[in-house]
Amino acid sequence: MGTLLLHNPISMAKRPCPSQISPAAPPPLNQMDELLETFLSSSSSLSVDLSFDRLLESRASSDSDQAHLIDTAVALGSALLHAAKRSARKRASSHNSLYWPLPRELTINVFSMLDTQSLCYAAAACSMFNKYARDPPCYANIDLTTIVPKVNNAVVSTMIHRAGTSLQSLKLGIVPGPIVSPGSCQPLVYSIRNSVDVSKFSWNDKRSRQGKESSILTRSCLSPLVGDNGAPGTLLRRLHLYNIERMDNTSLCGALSACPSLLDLEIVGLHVELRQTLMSVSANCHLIERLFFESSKTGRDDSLKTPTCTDLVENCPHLTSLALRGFKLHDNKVRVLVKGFRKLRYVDFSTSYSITGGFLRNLGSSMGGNLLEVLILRDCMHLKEVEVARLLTAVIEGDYKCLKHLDISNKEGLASEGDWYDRCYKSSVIPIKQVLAERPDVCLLAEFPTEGSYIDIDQMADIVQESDVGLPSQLSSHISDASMFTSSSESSYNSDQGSGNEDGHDANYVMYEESSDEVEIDLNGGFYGAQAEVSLAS
Amino acid sequence: MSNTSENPKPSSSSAKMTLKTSDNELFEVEEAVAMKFCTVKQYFEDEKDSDVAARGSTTVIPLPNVHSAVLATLISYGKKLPQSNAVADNHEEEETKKKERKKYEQGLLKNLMPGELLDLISAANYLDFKEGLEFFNQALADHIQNKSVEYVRKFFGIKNDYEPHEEEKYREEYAWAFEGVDED
Repeated sequence: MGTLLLHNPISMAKRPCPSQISPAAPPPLNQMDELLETFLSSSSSLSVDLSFDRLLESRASSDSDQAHLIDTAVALGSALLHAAKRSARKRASSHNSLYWPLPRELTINVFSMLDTQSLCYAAAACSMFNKYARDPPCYANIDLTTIVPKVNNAVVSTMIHRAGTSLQSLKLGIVPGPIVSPGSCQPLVYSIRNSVDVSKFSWNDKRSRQGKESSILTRSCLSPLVGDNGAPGTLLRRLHLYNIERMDNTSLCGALSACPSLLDLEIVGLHVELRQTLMSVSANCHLIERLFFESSKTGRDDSLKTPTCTDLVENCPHLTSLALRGFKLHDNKVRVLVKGFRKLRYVDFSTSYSITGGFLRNLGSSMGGNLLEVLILRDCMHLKEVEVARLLTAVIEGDYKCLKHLDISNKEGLASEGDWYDRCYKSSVIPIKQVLAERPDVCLLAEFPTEGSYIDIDQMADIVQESDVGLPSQLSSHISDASMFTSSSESSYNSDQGSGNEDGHDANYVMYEESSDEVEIDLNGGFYGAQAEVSLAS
Repeated sequence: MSNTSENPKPSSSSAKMTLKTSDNELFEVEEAVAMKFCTVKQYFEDEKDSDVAARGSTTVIPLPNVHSAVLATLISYGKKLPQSNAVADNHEEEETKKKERKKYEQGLLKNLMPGELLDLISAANYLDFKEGLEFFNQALADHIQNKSVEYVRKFFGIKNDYEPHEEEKYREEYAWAFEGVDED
């Protein structure tokens, strides 16, 4: 019908009834080919434009004719456009496959080095890349961590399924800003405070909550690990979970039960109980080497029990790195852990409540202690100055011979012997300078409150010495003002959190004093040099 | 394009091999370096097995798939790698060498065009040059890390062949990924 229009505009004008045009059969193919060829080779966009306007005007008398002309032009124009674009895509595809110099395996190899987000970008570049990007090796290391909630269960599920048995590492959740590496000397309050802030942001902001329901990870986000007879989880080596609000104990433990090969587990800001999680690790992840656990409720999770510790030590003998941050930890239980893990090199109990440091007594010269390379006890509210002094003395004397990094910093100073509310950090008691002198191989971080911000160790020692008398008393007057604590954000210490150790603590002290050497816990009876065996009640 | 790639060092292994590129350039390479190209190594060993006594320096190994510019770069990279038969250096020397290598690597990558990088990877693959392949693969991955889709297309010289509805679906599915990336 269009051809009749183009070819015979005059005869068109003569035709009284436009409806007779539409049902006409399309002209035979070769005629159309010729027409199209003529049209495409001799027309410019401008001439088409002008010609169309003229045609339209020539039908000015009949409104329905005009309408029909326009409709036809739209239909045919679209058909032509569609055909041309389809061909353009085909040509693009074949260009890509001819031009791309790397064979499939190499391309996939390169893609497997990309982080997950960049992989999605590469896949969006063209269909050939998309095909390559679906290959399992590309999903060996899935990193779906984002700064604000964006990822939902479906995305996680798709990627885990694509990885199949190639899945080695899975990182999921909300991470505010660049990840603070646990071994760094940066204040770790960053990750706690910010994790609380960010999750508050997404849940209190109703507008964002409504709009982003589809972008939320729910408690079953890890269930793909368990599905298919647990195949994807079987070879998983690393699992890092950050601030997944809806994750609960059951789901997490379920996921862990599907990951027997897990070597590295990092859990930050999840609403899960320490004891249950450790029990699950104990039961399922016997190969684990690194455990990094940061509480979502600083100082309020008091669930750890001694049997849990002994089980963990027994079932996970390969642990070399242990971080339990923001929990209520008692010295006797922590001692079970630190002594029991025979390969333990890295320990981080920052922002823990209750521990006083007593667990470190006599630890540095025997199994469990003498392999320690890193010990971080930053901002432990109840860490006692006198225990720290003992520790440093042991270090000066050569214990902890593998120690490379020791962090006893505390933004409120250390707890005094009597009332933990009294803060102090006298250099006369804590031999910082001597440690620096006798053990130059040890990086010692002892940042205590002074005027100004971070001061390096040498200066610090000087200042502490100089203002020996002045600062501690200033500080205790600060502390007696309760508002000081409550005003400095959630991650600061709750003033009603007593050390909790007090009752059982004296009993422990008595036990330590009695045995002049180790206090050993009989686990497998294989410890050397056990002088006394005392069983500690939980 | 120079014919010889380097002057022989008296201390290193004296055996040399000649490699011929696709554009008929000849490269004289120390055996230690050439052996890192496993394809060459295989060829050489096959030659040895044959009855004719192969004198390494007179054997010319043809590499019809490798262009001279590419081979020059690969040889130069191969020389900078720690040699397997080198005397063990003490810690300080090792550190210095490492730093030098890092500097060299950075210089190498700085002015590399995407096409050249792809050529290097292809050639390293053909030559079965494991260290080179690993290095240049990583360099390629680093180049397109955190870059937008358009950048990736331009960088590789590939064309978008998605149908509109496909692309729409894709962007929706991976909406989480398509935010906050430098266009460069």
